[in-house]
Amino acid sequence: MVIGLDSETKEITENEVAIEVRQLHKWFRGNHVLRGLDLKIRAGTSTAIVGGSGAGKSVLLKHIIGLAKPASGNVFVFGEELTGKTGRQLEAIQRRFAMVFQGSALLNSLTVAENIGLGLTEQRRLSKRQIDAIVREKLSLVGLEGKGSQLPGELSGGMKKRVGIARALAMDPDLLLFDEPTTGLDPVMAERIDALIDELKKKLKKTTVIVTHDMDSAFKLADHIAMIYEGKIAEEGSPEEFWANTNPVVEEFISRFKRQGTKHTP
Amino acid sequence: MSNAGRTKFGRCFIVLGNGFLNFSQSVGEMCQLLAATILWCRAVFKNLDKVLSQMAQVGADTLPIATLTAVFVGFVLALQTGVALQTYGQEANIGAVVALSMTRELGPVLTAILVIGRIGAAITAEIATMSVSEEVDALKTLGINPVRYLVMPRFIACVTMLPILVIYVNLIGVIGGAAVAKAYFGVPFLLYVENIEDWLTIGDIGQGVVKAAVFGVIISIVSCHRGLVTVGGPGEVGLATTNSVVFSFVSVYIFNYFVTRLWLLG
Repeated sequence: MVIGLDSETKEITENEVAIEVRQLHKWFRGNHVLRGLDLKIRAGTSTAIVGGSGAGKSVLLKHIIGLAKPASGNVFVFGEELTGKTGRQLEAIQRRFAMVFQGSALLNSLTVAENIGLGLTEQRRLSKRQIDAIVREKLSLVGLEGKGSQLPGELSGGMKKRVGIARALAMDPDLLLFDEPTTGLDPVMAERIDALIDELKKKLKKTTVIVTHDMDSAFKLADHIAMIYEGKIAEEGSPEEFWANTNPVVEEFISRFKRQGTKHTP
Repeated sequence: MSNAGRTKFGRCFIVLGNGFLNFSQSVGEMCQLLAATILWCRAVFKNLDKVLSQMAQVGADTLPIATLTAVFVGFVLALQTGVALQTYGQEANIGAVVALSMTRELGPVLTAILVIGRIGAAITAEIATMSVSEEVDALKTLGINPVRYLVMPRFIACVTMLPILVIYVNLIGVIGGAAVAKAYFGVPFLLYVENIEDWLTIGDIGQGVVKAAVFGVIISIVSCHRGLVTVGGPGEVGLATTNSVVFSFVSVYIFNYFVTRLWLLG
């Protein structure tokens, strides 16, 4: 059985730039959060965007997906400019993305299965039977078989995150964005979510962007790490390059992690 | 003027100016939301489940409190007018006074107040909670337009159910008045009804129904807008709900005057 939406998108080649951010500026109540940020994310790779609290990581993510409008600058998705697009044009680009939110952002009035199938149900392209099959498949993919009839309020934080991931995967996106996937979880659950993202990355080979301040997750999951500092990308590179980076800003940020010497050292 | 005086005047000017700017921005955004909602009304039949569910909440669930309010307002109206009319031996006209007061003014305004308190506050609290927990953003990333999914069903429910509620409230108020007229002033039910027939025109009922539909537009748009623009946490949800209720009350009072003026003087 074919599960998932018919892809209307063109074939994505390796090394193609999936997301390009040019000179992005954003102000919030007089606070200059993003100050001419430039970033390129290649298709099929996994990029971690790291930085301290309030550095603008989540703000950048919201600009990439078109949920926030920049003060100036541009965002391109597979070469198509996102900035300034509204209505159906914006929705067409947004359909290529799926995002897993920090707080999971599940609709509390809907069951787990309804949450996962929500996007497909509202698109009205597939029958209920097809949507049910996709929901069952995604639930099994995130290890939550049999939980479809529960309400989000009955789930633990880690389970909610997994439902959020299943909901994102149900839309069969080209780009998967994770906003702080392990924040607020205990170490065991954080490890499980990391393992799930890693497994999905290997299995599905999607372009993923992970916003996190958890360096353990970043080193374990990313092919490329970019660090935001003072509204710009201060440093970027492979995990090995990032580990060996001598920029004091990077050194300070990962010093605690280096001292702990965890098993995910690149 | 001293420096201190100038500074105080300057601050006062800034506060007033900011207040005016915020108010103008809100009104502009509400007009935009109204236009977008009217455009999305074309999708009403595809979203009939959501629309009917909202209609049940606005209409059927409001009936008990509407009945209680209407019957006591009818009692009081009949008592007050009965005592005054008795002085001139005009108790037979209690029916006309009660019916005209209910249909033209009290029915629509009291129903609007009930719906603002019961439904408008709930709409703002629900949508504001969804906004601060990123559920509205999640809808957008799933390709679901929040105006179609959240606002349009509530708009149609308020605009259609408020006039029906008003007709019901008018009827119950008039029946309450009849009971008091009979019990305390000895006005027979038939005489009470004949008196209403002599005075009440279809235009009086129409005036109340038109007002109710206008109030339905105001309540739904104000409540949804205040919810959608909420950012922050639980504190902001409470604040948004209070703002929404106050804004709706004031708007209903103002529009009540203008609709009455248009109706009576053209």
